[in-house]
Amino acid sequence: MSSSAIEKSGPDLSADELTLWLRERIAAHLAMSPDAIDVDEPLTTYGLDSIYALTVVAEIEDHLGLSLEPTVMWDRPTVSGLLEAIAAERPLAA
Amino acid sequence: MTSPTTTSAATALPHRADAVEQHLGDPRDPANPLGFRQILAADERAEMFADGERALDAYGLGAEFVPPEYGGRLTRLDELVEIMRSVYRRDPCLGLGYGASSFIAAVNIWTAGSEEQRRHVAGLLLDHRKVSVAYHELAHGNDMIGTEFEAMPGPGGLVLNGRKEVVTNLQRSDAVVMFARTDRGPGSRSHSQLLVDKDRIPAGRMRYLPRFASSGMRGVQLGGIEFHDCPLPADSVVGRPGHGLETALKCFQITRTTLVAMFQGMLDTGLRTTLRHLSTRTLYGRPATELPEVRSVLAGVHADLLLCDAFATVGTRALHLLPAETPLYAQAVKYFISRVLMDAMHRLSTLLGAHFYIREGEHAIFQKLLRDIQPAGFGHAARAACQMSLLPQLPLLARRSWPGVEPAPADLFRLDADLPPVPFDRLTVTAGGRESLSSSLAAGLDAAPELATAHPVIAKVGAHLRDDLRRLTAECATLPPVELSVAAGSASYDLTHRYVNVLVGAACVELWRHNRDHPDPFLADPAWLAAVLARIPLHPGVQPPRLPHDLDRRLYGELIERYESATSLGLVRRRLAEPHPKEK
Repeated sequence: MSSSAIEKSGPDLSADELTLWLRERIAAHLAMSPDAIDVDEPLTTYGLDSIYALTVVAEIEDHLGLSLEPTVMWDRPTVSGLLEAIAAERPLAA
Repeated sequence: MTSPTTTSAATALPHRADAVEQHLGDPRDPANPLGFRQILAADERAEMFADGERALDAYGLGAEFVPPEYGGRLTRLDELVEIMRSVYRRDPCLGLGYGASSFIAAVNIWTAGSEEQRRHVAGLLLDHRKVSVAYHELAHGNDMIGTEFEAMPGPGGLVLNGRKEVVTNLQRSDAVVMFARTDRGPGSRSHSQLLVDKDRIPAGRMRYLPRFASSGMRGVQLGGIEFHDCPLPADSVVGRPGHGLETALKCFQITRTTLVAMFQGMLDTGLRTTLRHLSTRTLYGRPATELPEVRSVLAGVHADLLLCDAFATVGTRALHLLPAETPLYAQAVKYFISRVLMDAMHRLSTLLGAHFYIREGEHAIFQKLLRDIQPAGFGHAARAACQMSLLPQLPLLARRSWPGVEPAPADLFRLDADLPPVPFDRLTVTAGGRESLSSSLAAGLDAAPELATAHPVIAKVGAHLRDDLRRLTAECATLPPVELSVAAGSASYDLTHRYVNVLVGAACVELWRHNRDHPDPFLADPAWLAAVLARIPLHPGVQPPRLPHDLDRRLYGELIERYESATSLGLVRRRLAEPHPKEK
């Protein structure tokens, strides 16, 4: 939780920063290195369970100040898919 | 599938439950063909109680599980619970094996099924048929994602392969709601419910496994089923393919809450039976009920029953009124009430001594109920599984709800407030850490400052729970993610216990505060509130202390009065079928 990316939140977060934050958040839960998370790999293959996925979505909502379908990670189970879903809700900073 | 009308509590609540009571008659009357003697005989044979099933057919219990749009009487879940308590207090095998298992199956259909599936299941239940619900595989328990039973695309629809085990009524049901893997890939969209109509299964593709014998609920027929390359029409899928986990998590809110609430009927009979035994027994030269220790245990158990009823009442009303929050409350209700009920039955057994152990005679129903109540702890979700579902919500709760939000509305607590129809279409998979009941604790205590002086224990427990919510808010905000998963340590599980206590305390305080004008003076008296708060297990793993002396006397007096007037022991008194014991 020491990255500069996570110090920022809300609409001034860029796509890259958001990707970094998401990977760090998910990696923390799975007790693995963020670098080991492939953005195109379903997160369930790393052991992210269904119930915790709902919590991650709520964390994203609070971090970015937007509202998402709670089951968005069930439908879009990769980091890149999740980013697309978030981008559909609001434009990211350049 | 909601209709715009509401149902009046005043006309509906006591009515049908009383009808069931009278229909089934005095369970202790040896001449009653539906009494304990016959119930116990069936249990000894490990059979369902056939005369009891016929009596429930005659009453039309199946209609209680069907919404009115489909010809049934399921308008209010609190009514359903009260009706089912009358069944459970006599024979839990009838409660589960005749009733609740079909109800669980049906809730899947009302929540996600097609119009045709709804009409089909409604028709079966109105026709006194059984629908079983096959989620369980012995290898996976509550780990639903691990489900191996599969329904994969094949010629003409789906092809079933695999087995389900320890499922109520599997062999005698006309249809089965099954939880199946419909995608071999990992993830949360790989499962679906199927409504399997046994008439549509071709010969030779399905077989039943031998019945599973059980130590409690011995009459309930626990079966298994195995499919081998069995074709099934594609329209058997319930709801959107792949959305099975979502449907399950929605349905469980209704069924986990109401089933454990129904179990309270067992403690009513357990307490009544123990009191009956002790009041006729002379020990050390005086009636056993004159021993202070005996009275104290009995009073404490009555308080426990009221405590369960209070939380169940609020949890059940919340299903109608606050469906966005019940993903949290349902886990809390199931976790909390199951433990209190089982512990209370155990304490009663210590009063009965040898009489709880023998399987014959006047009090033999107790040993059956003591065995039958055990599934409260593991059936339809283990207590630990409820804690695991609450755990990842804790940091969200600490951020989104616990600092204080608008408290829960008064109608959640007012027993005479109408309830809208069961909102099957508004159930949601997660509360996202948003709930209002915990904020009702401080709001309720602050709005009734007289409580603090009425009984010291109210001030003490109230302050403890308020402080604990503040501590939880700080502790949970910084919980590391690894503590939110199955790998969490026991200290993290204890956090869920403490949180549930806050919800319980809030439910009790607000129930008292919003029913001070209730016609029953007992409900208006803060003594019941003091007694139930005193029985909340504030410290995980530690039994709550005895009631203070004045509450001991008050609760024991209430128990005796209810016993002698043959009224039920919960918050709302209901006339039971037993005759007035003093008139006998």
